[in-house]
Amino acid sequence: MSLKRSAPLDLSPSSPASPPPPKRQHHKPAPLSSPHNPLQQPPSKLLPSAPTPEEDDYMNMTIPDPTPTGPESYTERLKRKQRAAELAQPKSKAELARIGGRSRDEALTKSLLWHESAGANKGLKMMKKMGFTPGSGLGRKEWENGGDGARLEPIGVSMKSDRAGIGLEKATGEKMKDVAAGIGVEQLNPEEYRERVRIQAREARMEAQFFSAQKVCEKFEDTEDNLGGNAQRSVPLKSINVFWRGLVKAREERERGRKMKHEMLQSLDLPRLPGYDRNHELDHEDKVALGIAPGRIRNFGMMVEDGAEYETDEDEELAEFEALEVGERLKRIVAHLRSKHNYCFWCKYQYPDGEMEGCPGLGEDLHG
Amino acid sequence: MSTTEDRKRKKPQEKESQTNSPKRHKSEPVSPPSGNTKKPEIDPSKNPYLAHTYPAEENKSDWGPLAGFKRHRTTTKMANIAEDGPFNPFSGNKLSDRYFNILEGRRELPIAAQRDEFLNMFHKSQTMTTQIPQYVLFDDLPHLNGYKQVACTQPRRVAAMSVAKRVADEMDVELGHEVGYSIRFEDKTSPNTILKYMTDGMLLREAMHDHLLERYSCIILDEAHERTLATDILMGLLKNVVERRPDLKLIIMSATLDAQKFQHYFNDAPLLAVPGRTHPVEIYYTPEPERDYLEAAIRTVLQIHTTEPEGDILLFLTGEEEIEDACRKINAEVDLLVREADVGPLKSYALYGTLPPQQQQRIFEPAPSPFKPGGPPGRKVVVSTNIAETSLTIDGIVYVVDPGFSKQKVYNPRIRVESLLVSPISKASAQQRAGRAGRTRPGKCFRLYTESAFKKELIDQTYPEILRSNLANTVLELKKLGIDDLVHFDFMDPPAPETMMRALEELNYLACLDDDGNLTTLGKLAAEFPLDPALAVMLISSPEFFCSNEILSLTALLSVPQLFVRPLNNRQRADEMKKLFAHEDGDHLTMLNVYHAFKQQDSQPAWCREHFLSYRALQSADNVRAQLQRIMERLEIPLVSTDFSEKSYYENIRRALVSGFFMQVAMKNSPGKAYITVKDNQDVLIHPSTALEKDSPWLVYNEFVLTTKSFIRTVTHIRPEWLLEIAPGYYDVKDFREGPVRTGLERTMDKVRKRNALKRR
Repeated sequence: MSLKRSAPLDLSPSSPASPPPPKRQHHKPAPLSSPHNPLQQPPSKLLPSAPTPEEDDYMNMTIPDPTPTGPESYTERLKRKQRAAELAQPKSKAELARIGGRSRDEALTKSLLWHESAGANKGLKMMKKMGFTPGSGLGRKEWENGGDGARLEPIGVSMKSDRAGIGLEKATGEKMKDVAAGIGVEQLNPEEYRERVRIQAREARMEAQFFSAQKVCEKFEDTEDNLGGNAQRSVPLKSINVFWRGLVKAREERERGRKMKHEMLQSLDLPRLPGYDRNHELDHEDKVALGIAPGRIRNFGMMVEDGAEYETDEDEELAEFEALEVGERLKRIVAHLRSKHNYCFWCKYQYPDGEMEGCPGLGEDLHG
Repeated sequence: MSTTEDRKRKKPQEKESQTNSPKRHKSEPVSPPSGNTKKPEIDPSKNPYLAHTYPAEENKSDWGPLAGFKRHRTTTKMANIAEDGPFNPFSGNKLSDRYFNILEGRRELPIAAQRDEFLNMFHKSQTMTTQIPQYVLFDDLPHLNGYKQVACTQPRRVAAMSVAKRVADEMDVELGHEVGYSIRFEDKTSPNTILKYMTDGMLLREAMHDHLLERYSCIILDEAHERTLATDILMGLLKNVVERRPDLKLIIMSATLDAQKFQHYFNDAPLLAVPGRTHPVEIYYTPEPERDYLEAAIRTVLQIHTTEPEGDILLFLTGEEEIEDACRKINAEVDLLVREADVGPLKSYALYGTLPPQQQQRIFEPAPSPFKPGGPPGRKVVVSTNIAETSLTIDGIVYVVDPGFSKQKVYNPRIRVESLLVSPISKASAQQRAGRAGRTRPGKCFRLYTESAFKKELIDQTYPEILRSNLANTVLELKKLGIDDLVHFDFMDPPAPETMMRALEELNYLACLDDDGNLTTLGKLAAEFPLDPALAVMLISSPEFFCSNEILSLTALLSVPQLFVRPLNNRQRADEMKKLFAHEDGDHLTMLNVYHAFKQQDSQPAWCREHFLSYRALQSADNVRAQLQRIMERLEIPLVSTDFSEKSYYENIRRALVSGFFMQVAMKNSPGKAYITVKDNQDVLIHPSTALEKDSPWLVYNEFVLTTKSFIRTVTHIRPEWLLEIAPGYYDVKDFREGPVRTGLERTMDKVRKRNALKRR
């Protein structure tokens, strides 16, 4: 222990933390008291950490710190460390796993035969006595030179964390190589690519704007008709302005899908349906239920109005409108809002009259 | 002299008794075929059926059915006549009707046609489970040749027992008399035994005391292709013994796949190839590698069910959780299919090692019958780990689905971890799996990988156990077998040098080997126990800690499989029950609490069920304990206990634990649950199943396993001072590199020093 090092305690008689050791005379004078001893420095420097050589002195509550930094008692140091540990962020699970994996992988790749501690390893010493030379394998003597069968390394440990089948890793690996080699992938022009990404982003933004414009439109219309936005619609779908008809239609389809699923779940304890292929055994209702014959599905208690069924037919007007480019659709709906409701989509403001005083104009770019 | 008395006698004495007493063989004379065992009041020597037992050696014409048999000069014809009866050539009893029924079946086995071929080979040289040993008996005549025996080893205890039973039936003798078995902790043989089935481990233990295995005239190593640790060591050993004992015959029986390897190893010994009685199996590969083998496996099972003709399905998966998951998914999908399409019922059964035996038995239930006569077939699907690959045969399997993975135990000496990881199987294993489809009729095997993956990615043979295990126990055994040069021992597959280096190092720290590699007194004692060295050393040193009774119980408990049952559907209740036994200091003491409670409850199965404990495991622990106790008594190791009311009762046990497991210690590393193993500095977590409640800076653990994470399992709270005190050689601070463990040890040393100073004052 480093305790021995601090024998020349007589240099620090004034140390408050270490009372004069009563049994000092039992200790041999330290060989360290040579002129070259770095401890032979002005006492002031040594004082704070000067530890006592008296290991068996119960009065001595200081612990020699390997790096003499300041007077810190053992308990203080322990407390400080504990506090620091508490303050330290507890490592997250992922972090722990990562650290654990790293120390594991590192140790797993390091052979014990060439480890820094191998020289002191008694197991290795015994084996050498039996005639083992590191680098060779075990087994019958004749094998040593041939070296065919004998294993030199322990079986490796490989973690499998997914359910990929045998050969998948290699197959995907090869595909990746193909990609890297440019096989089967068309060469990309960076300019073209940037342009495409930019257009895609702009279209996505305009699509979102068109959607909110549709909602604004609907709201204006609904308040005019004194109808709540989500209330049951009383007018046929086709009488709704084509600008936001798509919105209403999509919402209703979603609603219907949800209801159908709910009904399905409710009806699970109905008697088992017969198989698809036994056509002759089915009555008309079964066929309807299975979607083989046209008709209304009554069994599931679907709340489908006649009109609604009619509406699912072709809607050329809507299809035509939706086929337009998103920029054009947006332009038309914004114009519609302006002309009908004196509302500028960009100012987000409904002007009192058609003059729309203060609005810079039709386009978004005009609104700065 | 009564028969029982006679059997108790040892062999040399028996020889004597032969002249005086006619009772070397089972002496109840001729029981009528009805099975009436009433002893007729006649002088046995007047009994013509027993005449052969009298003049034994002198008059060979009186050998009964074996008259005219000359050792190693017999033929199939001779044996057939003897087998035809009417009297049992080995026991002298009249052969039963059942015997003749079995005999008829035996004569039709493919091997029967090659009996002469086998005998010729057997005669000419020193060099297959039920038939070969019997052929050997009829030729080797061990009972007439200095009371030798024929041994047949099996890798598994269950196989040794069931095969012995079967052969006893075939030979129409009582199990435990002429034909017996000997497995760890159970010996069912008598001095009359001439054919002994045993585990390979048992034969190895016998070799420790009888290096030349003198009591056997012929040794048969069965299922050698499984390459268990004990079989591998036995092969190395016997190869040498055969050179020194020319009278000893050695037969290696293995699956044909790697027969050449065995042949080559045994200096090109003659080889007899016996065709298996199996049907052709068509093999199908997937065109593309699978993204998710579990999903692919379920899909394949359903596809077979809807499109293939009658026949059961066997699906190989890796572990309990995966298997239960697959069964649930298959059941759900089948319910849907049955509703939608015209398919028959499909019943799924899970099969894995930790499944209770009565549930394991369920896989033998017949497949469900179709919903209506003539309708699509009903079938069963068995979803199993690789125990259905070799150890268990299920009749009726026609389709095998093989995703190509299994969980393998691999020990790594570098960080001393036992990993239990999912890894690709070997080609041999894949073939074995496919073969399972052809046991009843021609079958099909669906491999969920491509043909090129089979050829390129799979290794040829599964790694033998010797390459995958901690060799501490093996090295100790080899030392005890008198082998000094371990480095050049003739291993069939030599293990990695590092594994042996670790084993030697550990045995040295355990003081079982001295620095020169010689067995110490402790080492010799430890080798007497069929236990891992750490456990044996703990047991031997336990009297010093005044708790050998408790450590004995604990050792037995650590030697049996899972004590606590945790059924999927009742986990919470099981955990609550476990809490009843929990000891705040950790799992070892919790296990001990369980055992004590079990004994207090008179070992009742109902009580175990109620408390989610495995009755089987506890009973087997009880059995193991009794056997170990016998060994301790023989070695004169005192059995002592600290009075339970004393404060040091549990502390003593924990200290004794350290005496064997001081190399399996982990230290808390951060405020969380993370620990690091001392010396190897591996980050580990305590397995979630632990009962430990106390905040423990230092722990001793029973195993370090790598599954999804690095876990230490079965842990107990200890004090670092004990490490310094009990294992100062291992805990020499200067052997530790800078880090938390070294700091912790240094701090402990200071503490100890100060406490001592205080005491001295």
